[in-house]
Amino acid sequence: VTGLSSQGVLEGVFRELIRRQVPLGTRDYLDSLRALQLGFGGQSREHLRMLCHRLWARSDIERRAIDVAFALVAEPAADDAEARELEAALQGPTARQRPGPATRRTEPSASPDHKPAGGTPSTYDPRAGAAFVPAADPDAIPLPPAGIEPLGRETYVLQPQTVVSERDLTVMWRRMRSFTRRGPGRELDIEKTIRERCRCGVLPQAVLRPSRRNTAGLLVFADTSPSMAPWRPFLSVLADSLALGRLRAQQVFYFSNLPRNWLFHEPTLDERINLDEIARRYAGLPLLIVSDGGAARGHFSPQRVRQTMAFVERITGHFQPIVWLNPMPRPRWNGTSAAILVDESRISVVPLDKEALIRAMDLLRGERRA
Amino acid sequence: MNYKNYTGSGTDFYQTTSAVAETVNLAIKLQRPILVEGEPGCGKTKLAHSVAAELGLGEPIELRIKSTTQAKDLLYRFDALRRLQEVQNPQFAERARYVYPYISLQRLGLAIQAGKPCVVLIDEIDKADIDFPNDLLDVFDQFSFDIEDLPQEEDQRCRAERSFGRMVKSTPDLKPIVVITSNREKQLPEPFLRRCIYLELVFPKDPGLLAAIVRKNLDHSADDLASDLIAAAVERFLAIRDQARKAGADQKLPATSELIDWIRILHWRGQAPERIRNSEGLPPYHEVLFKTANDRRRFEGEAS
Repeated sequence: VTGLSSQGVLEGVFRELIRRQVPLGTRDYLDSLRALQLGFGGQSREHLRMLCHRLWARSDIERRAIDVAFALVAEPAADDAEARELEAALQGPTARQRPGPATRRTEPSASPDHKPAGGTPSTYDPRAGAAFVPAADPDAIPLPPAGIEPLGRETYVLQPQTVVSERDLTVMWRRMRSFTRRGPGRELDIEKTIRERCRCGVLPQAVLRPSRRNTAGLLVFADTSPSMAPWRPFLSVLADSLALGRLRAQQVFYFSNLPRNWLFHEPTLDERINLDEIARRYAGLPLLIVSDGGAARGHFSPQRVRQTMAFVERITGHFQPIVWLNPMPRPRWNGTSAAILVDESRISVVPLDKEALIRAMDLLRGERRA
Repeated sequence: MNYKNYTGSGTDFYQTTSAVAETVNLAIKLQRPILVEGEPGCGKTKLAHSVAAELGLGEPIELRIKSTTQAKDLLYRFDALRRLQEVQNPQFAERARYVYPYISLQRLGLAIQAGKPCVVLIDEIDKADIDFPNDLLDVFDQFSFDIEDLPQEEDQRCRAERSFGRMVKSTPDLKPIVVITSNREKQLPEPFLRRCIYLELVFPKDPGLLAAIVRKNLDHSADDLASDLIAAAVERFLAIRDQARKAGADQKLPATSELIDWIRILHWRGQAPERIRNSEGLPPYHEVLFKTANDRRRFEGEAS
């Protein structure tokens, strides 16, 4: 082992991982030093790399980040042969037309006698394909097999990555709590019963109290128009997580492009329901609208602005508060109806990231706009 | 005092690789919980038993998790109903004025109070509600917990009579070794993952190791099992797993426990090693290896 000491390598790798935003803390670093003192990972560079994996990696992505950081710190001299090979492969992909092991699943669709792709989508998580494979479409074309095989130490992470995980969303919904004791007494109030017994000397009757119940609810209007295709996986995670949120009432309705008189129970725009009926049934609930509001198409349409404003006007009295979640990046709102919505209407518009979602949740819970 | 080194081959019922043993040792030395993930039937729970047995710690304290389990349930229980019942009985009315007689420590609580070296196994943590792992974080960090139901003014009295107070804490020479298993049914919270040493048990590809695992798992009645039968079965089994994966029969790929069942049947039915190795098309008694009809059909389609 030449060059840096084991401790130096650990520090370098740790710094590199922090730079790559792997969520590690001082404690993790101190633990690695202690492990080194206890005799783990000191034998060779390979042992040291395995120690980093064991201590710091929680997923394939992190394992990969560690390998990259390790290569940077511990073996700074790049493997020229490998780089040349990679370059050659990129210049002439046809020279190495062997599908890699990761693409095996898509092979059947390439064989001529096989039913074209129709039979395979059931093995896909619809969220995996993101923008390429529309979630609800069973005849969607699967991702094409890659032309070249991964080289050397190159690895790929092929798991679907959603913007916000189902777990995080569920936790957020669960934070929308407002517990009250309402209704008839159902639960034994032990303290009061004991006090009653001490006061009277006998117990005439057990004291009951209403059980605590979450009275918070949420209504979601989600856009499933083609401009929202990249976020369909997110919408399906949103609908799934909402059911786990333990809210008193929760419902997702879908619309295409612009919400008007009719909304739909299904993302495929089936089972329509009148907006007035929704307003009657779910009056007073907070409302979350998920739509790009014209930002994805990127041009300004006065008609769309008028229609959006009219819709916002129409629902304002019925649902309170209303938050508009616009998944397009904020700079793309400029010059479209989405920007007008931010400036002119009284509803709050937030982008799609974790911080903004937490903010949206606060707003939906009834906090004032900043 | 220190825990001994775990080798992974020191028991007569479990065998694992040195890499797994090294990870276990690392977690023990750093006093962090071990989170074990892996496909069903690859020996996650058995790993905890093997650590306990090899280090001479007796049976592990096993906590089985249900969907309704709360962190508190593992630590202590407050029997409010019994208190209510007894307050009406003049014989117990005096006692029922206090809360502490109705508090009983549960298995994890008892282990923390005892402060003895042991293995605590929390099985299938992903079955619990999503808040559960976070609630346990502090408990594993400090190896102490607070009995919230016990009023502060009863602390002294409880300490005198029950030998624990509101704060149950032990100053063990050795913290218990905590092994947590998960089937990945739910995503676990990030802070929880960070606290644990992560260990993924992968299915062994080495026929020698697999044969050793099989031998350790067969009962003594199967002692006379010829080693060439085991070798043949293991060899064929690895091929079957490959075929099954290729055919997409991977809802539940056959793992160690299925392999052991299969070898038992092969032995019981007197199958010759050559036949197991060379049978054209479907291997004998392959039905034992698949847990869903769908998997089996797909495999049969691929193999025949």
